[in-house]
Amino acid sequence: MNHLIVTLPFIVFSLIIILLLAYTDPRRRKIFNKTDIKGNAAFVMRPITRKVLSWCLVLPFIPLVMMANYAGILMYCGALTVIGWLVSELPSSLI
Amino acid sequence: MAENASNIRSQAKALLNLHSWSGIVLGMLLYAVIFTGTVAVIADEIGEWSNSNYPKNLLITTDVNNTVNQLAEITPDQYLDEISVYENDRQQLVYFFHTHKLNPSGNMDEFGFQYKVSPKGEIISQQQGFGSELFAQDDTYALSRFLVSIHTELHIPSPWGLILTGILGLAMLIASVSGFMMHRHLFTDMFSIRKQRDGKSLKRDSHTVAGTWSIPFAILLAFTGSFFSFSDSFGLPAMGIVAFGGDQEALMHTLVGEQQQKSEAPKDSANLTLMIADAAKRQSAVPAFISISHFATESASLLTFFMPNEGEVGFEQLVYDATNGDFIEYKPLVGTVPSAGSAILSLIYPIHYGTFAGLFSKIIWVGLGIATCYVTITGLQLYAHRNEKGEQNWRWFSRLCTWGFLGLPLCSLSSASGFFISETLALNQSVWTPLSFLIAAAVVTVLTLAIKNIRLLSNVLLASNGLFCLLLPFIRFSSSGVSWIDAIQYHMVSMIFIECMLLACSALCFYRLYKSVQMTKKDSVIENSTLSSQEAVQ
Amino acid sequence: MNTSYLHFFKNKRFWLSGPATLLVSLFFMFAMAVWFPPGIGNVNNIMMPLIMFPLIWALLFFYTYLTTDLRKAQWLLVILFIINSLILTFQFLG
Repeated sequence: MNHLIVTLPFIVFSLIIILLLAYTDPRRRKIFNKTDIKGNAAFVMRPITRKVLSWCLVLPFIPLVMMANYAGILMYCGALTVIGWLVSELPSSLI
Repeated sequence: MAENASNIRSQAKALLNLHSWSGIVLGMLLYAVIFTGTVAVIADEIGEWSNSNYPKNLLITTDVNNTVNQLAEITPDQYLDEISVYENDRQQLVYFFHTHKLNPSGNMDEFGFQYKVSPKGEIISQQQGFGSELFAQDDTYALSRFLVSIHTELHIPSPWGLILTGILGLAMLIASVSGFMMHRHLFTDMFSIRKQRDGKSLKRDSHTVAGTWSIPFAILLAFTGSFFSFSDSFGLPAMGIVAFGGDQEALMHTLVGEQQQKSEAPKDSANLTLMIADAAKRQSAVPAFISISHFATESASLLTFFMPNEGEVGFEQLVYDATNGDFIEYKPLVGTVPSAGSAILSLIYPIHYGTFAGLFSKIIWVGLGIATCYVTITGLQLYAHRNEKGEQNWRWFSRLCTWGFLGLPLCSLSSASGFFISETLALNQSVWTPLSFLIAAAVVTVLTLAIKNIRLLSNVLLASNGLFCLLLPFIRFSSSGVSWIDAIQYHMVSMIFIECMLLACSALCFYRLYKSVQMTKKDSVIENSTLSSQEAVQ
Repeated sequence: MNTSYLHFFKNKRFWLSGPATLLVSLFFMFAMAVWFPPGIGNVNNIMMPLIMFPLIWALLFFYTYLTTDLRKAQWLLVILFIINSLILTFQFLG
């Protein structure tokens, strides 16, 4: 059971990063600005920062490999995929 | 340079063709396999839920040794070859005393006596037959078995069903790899879904975004799925012919990792209950099943099988010498010593079904399944939508999509209702579960043909789906009498999980219905206003 | 109407990526059971071909489907077919 609880913080971490990436995604912003959203431009990130941020998603693999939590690695990969899809599907009024 | 550019363009066009055709020709079947695959991930939970049960860990809480010895006395000696024991979903231990022989359809099968034993050690039922037949007639698993069998072989006779699902796996592999290869802005378009003028998401963007995120797992699941189908249907027998000159028994012995000739001299076996307790202590878990080979002989052994545990992904098998009770080894899944083949095989099953970390990993795998279903649905709808505009002839394709996408979940829900209602009426559940599916399929087909307006049709199907999801917990309660309070009291996690999922699905269906009705109203207002303005002009 | 739908039957690429690829990858899998080292577990020569089959098929399929040099693809398949059927013939006859 322990290895599951250990994996959970990493999944929450990936959720936060993906939310940030989606929020600052230039293309997503351009599309929504064109249609209806206003005031979304308050928080801007440079492309290099976004790149670093997306590489951060790889970081959890290091502790998971060190703990030999292979089930955790697989779960993290799966969760990343599902979270990414769900976040992209969120309506523009939310993110 | 120009030639190079045109090459790339024609390659992109070829990939698009491949992607669309692999999707269109096999898309609907692929959807059926993916949807039921998503359900198959939680098949164990569905088994527990459908019997309003929770695991009682009977393998370690009852005296298995005593029961095996008692049953061995009343069973003919030839069936003591192998004894498998597992806990079923009706709080019984199932003991199967068997030997191996060819079944009527010409496959190697288990044959012997099956006893169902209560926690107190009383024999509840006793049956003789082939393992595959006994399992197919067992009412306990009627619902989960029926749904899983759609996923593995679409209920088409062996080996053709397996071959078809194998081909579907390859088609999914083609569709995902070609989708990946032809998408030029993979990372820039990852988060962007454009909206149509009416506020709906653009289907193409929904399709590509969901596709982009799920590509790695779509490839992995397609590959492992086609491996299962092909190796079961013709791969293994073919390997037997090539590597063992057709001796299928020798192949099985090599895979199981057992010598063909064993001493059958009688010798008392050590206490099985103690060995099981030792295995459970070593793994800090309860075995999923145990198997005793050559009971009461000099070569008696006990194998305990464990689901992945403590951060591992593969299964664990602990083998004991049953003559003296000594622990011998952690046995690989195939063969006698650890090998690359065995390691990969022990990874493939948990990766395909997501059964490596209990409910936690299963929830994630259900999410992956839903994402892949979504990709298939949006892909086919996209194609229907495009062609519908141009050609009247393609209208039937949209109708087919609605029939399949909303009809299959409805039929599955109906089969679950059939399972519970037949239980209440004391009918044969193994017959009524598939029959309810077929009845629902017939009704959905008639509705699809009868209702001319596609939007109305999809609303009717959505409403029925929502209604079934909402009613199923009540139907289950009326048939078993186990309430949510009991469920919480006895920690029936699977049951609570499934019912929460059903209620969530019901809420989703009604939300979509509400949105769709609102959209229809908006459309009719716009239509009316354009009509009245036209009239004014005239 | 019918002829336009059945046009791909005259296409060489269809025959190469379809039936030919399937046949060659099946032969590849069967022959692999002969030459693949069984390892100390004595099961690698059975498990590995089964696991590799979908991969071999996918590789050959995408190669023959996307290549511009059809002749090269054709010869590759022919050579693979000959080598693997020779291995199988030796296994069964000698």
